[in-house]
Amino acid sequence: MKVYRRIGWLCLGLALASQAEAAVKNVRVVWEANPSSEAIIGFSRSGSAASSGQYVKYGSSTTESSWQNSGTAIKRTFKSSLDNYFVRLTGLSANTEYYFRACDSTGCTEPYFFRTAPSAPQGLTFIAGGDSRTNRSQRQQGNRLVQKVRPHFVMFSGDYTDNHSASEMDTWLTDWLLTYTPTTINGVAYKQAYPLIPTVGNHEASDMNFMCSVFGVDADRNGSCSLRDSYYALNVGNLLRIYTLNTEFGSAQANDRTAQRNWLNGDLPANGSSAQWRLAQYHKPMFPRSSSKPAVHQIALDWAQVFYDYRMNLVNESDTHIAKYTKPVRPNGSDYQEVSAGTVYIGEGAWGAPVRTADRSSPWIVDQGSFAHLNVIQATTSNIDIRTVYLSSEPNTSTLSKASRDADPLALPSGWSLWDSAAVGNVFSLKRAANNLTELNESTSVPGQTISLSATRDVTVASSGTLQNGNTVLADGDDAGKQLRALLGWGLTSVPAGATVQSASIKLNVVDPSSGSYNLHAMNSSWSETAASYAQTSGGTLIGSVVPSSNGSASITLNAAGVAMVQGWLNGSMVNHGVVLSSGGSSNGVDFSSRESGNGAQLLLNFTVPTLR
Amino acid sequence: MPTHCGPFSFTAMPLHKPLTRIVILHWLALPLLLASLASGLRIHISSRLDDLFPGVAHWLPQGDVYGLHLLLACAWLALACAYGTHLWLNRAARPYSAAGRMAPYNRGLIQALRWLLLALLLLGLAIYLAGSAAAGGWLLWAHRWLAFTLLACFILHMVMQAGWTPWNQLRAIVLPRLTWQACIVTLLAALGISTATWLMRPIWQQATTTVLPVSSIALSETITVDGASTEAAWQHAAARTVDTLGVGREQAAIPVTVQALRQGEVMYFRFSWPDPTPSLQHLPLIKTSTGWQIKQRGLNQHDETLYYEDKLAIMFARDAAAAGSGSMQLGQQPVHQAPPHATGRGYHAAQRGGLIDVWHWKAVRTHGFNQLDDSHFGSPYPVVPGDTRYTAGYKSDPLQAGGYTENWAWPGEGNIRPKRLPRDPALLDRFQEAKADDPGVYWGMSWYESIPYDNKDDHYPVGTVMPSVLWKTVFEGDRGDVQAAAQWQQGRWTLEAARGIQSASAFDLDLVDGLYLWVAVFDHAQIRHSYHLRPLRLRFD
Repeated sequence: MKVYRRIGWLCLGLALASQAEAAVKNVRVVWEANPSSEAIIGFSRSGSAASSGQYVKYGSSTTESSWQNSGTAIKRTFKSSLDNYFVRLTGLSANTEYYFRACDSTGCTEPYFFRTAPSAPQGLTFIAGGDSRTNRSQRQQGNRLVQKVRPHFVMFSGDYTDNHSASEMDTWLTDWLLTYTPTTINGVAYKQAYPLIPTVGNHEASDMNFMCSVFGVDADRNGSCSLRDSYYALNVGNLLRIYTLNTEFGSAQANDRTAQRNWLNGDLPANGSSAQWRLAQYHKPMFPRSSSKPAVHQIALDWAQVFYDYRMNLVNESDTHIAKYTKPVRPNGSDYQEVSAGTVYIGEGAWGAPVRTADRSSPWIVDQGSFAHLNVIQATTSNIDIRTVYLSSEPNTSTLSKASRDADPLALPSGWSLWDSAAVGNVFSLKRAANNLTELNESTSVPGQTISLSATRDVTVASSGTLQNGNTVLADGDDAGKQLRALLGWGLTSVPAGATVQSASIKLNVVDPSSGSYNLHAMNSSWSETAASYAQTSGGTLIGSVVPSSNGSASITLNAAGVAMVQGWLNGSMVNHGVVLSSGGSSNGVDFSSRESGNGAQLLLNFTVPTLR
Repeated sequence: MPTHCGPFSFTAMPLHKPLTRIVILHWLALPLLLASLASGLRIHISSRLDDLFPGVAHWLPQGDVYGLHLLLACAWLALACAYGTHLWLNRAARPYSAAGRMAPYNRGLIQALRWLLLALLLLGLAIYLAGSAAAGGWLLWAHRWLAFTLLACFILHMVMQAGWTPWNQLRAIVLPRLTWQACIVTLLAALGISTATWLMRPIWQQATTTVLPVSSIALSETITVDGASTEAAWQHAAARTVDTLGVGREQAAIPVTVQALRQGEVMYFRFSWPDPTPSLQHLPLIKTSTGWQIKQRGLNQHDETLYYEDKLAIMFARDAAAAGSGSMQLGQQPVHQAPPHATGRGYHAAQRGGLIDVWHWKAVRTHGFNQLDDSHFGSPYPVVPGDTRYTAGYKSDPLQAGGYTENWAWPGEGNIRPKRLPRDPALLDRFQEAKADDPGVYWGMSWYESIPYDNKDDHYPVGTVMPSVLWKTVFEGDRGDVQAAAQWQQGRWTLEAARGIQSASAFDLDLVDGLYLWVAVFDHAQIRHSYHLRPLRLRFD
């Protein structure tokens, strides 16, 4: 009996030991090649804790007793102090969840899981972004957004930290854990990790071997870290072939720069057609959109022709900290030329780095803006849809459940704020052209088929009955006992006949912001700047809302009812009585420019006219 | 009635040929001697940084004085040849005196002057060929003191001759009765000597320049720029040691060993020099009872020599002219309409619109960037109002972003206000007990690890020391073109650097066969660097 009791205690001890806290942390999953069957699991030594015998326990079911141990992890040290360990899992099954813990001789981490890439061309939802270096809270906001989207993978286009020190990178890896979605499966709390495809940014130029020493990339499979590990390509099934390139090869790396160009010039013709779409990511844009940057980055521009020649469809750039969409383009000397089918470039990285002014204009730009964001991209065999998400909308974004993602690879969360790009609205939709290059998906986005209408009438009406028609229009829930509402109206005669409104928004130039929420309603009766009553401003359909929290442009995207209202105005099925902006309860008023000031409210319409195409 | 070229007509003795030659030689020697002494004195003052001749410095030549001194040396060589010819032509005659009579003891003085001039020429030649640090600096020391002795002898010679028969002596040498033919011969001789000297200069320079062989290695070989030099290629690369000589009264010699390799489109360099103590402080800040102050001893004169990091400068130029391709502009105010130099030593500037590529490794400020500070010497730039320091033609290459900055808005002797404080006060712990030469403590803080200065965050006790270097990020732009890393081990710094053979920057030179290279060591000094006159020449094997 004593023997059995001792054995029981021993088993319990061993069981507890296996769950004891490991001296390792910051687990990450990295894709470098063959993501249907391979993944790199990386983790770091925890602080100054002693750690030995690092490995990964993993399996394709949640039954942990069936998991197998990997071989001993490879140790690589970043900047002499950040010890990292890597295990390359091979022979995995496609489109399969793998559950794992990172372990050392003292115990294991909490359990995680990730999904391998599908081998069949199924739809994919993934994230592209970069530049997370200085504003840590914004970086964390972006990471939590990843968590809520449950993407298949993340393309990160460089500039992780500011000074690329070991302590900064350690912090970044800790923050990266925020991208993992807590998921309970069979009563066990897991975290779903999303494979990362890393890129070198200029802030990593002091040690570009971090691709290997921090993320475990060993592109040339030679078992050691070198600059060759900073550019590579992988296929996500046969849907995508993703190229990761290094723009940071300077003068001292001229040989590596030439080798990379030769590799790209050889790989794209040889392997580019192995997938239906070809994507690329790198750090410095060919033509940065801010005048605070050089007009051209030659190292990237050197790739433009081979991109075009071998059907590169979509390129994610970074570095400038702005948002942009280009039209399909081809290289034309030291510039782009808009073409019906070409390469589309998006970017330019604002995942926590300070945004710059997007002040360079080019005819091949669809739209550009200055705000923190990341891009949620959805690819199918026929289309690529891009949504640029404001990081600031993360708190309002719902978390997609595992069941939703499992059921629909293209499912998306709700509640987020999307960039209302001037020419294409919330979704930048692309399709593959007959020649396998990219063209705009004209059913939903037709550059040039947008119009911006200036307000033709606006007035402030107070609950006391007075009207105010000066250089500003006001709305307020309590202005010395009065309520103020802003009436706005536009003429639509310049919209082509037969236009079908795809999206609509209203832009205000705020001159006195408010922390409160303001609602936009349809007006149901006629009014003019000299004849309007407070009573007639109530009862209309809610068509949008806004928190005008800062001076400058504030955009209100009209909801479906709002779009229908505008369509009704155009069709003649509804009378165009304009709209009214009123407080949602706040007594903190908002002032914005009136038409009399020359910068009145704008109604932006995105529409299609079938007869034009 | 003969025609005379002198301003007066004398009826002194007719000048026959040997005497004519003596007079011509005196005419040529006198300005050469004065110019050589003046330029030599300027070099002496600039390199020793002392004030032995406070009243004289203002009158000495400024600018490319090294170039002038070497030009004069060449003229002396030509003159010595002419004098030798005179002696050979006049070998059968008894010695002449210009005035026919010789003052007592003066013949001995003349002999002394001859030997002194010969010794100075030979020493100068030796210094030119072997470097100013040759023989531990003793050659330079001997050259300097023999020049002072020559000056003394020359003055004594003039005084004695003038004192013996004053008017005749002066008239015979300064206002001789020469024929037009003699005048023309004199002028042609002077012109010929100058022209020959000028034309032969590049030939001399190239022929006598030490070659640095640059062998090619295969693209498959890996060279890691880390200062460790563990790669086999470095073991086989040819090495040349340049003896540089420090400035100041000590003038210690610092030998710098240089190696170079080329691999495809890239050149690698390795520099190694002795330094018993790595200096990794850079003007640290100290909290006093009245506020933060800069620990410094000469910063206000831009001449800090104690609380400063170690540095190495490497210069590349297409022209082999001595002293950094003629870029050393000595004197208090060698640049027209520029402010006087704080120490009177002078500025750096390229000549005649040229460009000298300068790589400036800084042990602390560029630490962690894996880069050095890519700079250049160009034409002197205009004075910018408000500049804390005017540096004439020395400028960093253009910078887009990144780099480092000082942790003060404006330097000064009294209290300064730091720009930033550490985000975590514990970051300063390692500096409190660190010694200035602790090889493991680099006196800098990451900008990211710091926060804007605010009085409410400044709870540091009096006596707290804090780095003044704020590292932002790597240099972006032309300034970051050169990859570099250094290590200090066992009393030596080893710096490795790499750059593309061709450069897209307008402020860089292509690293091609035949390019000239100089080095200068800054041993915990802001501007006082060791130097050598003549470069190494890259030769692609």
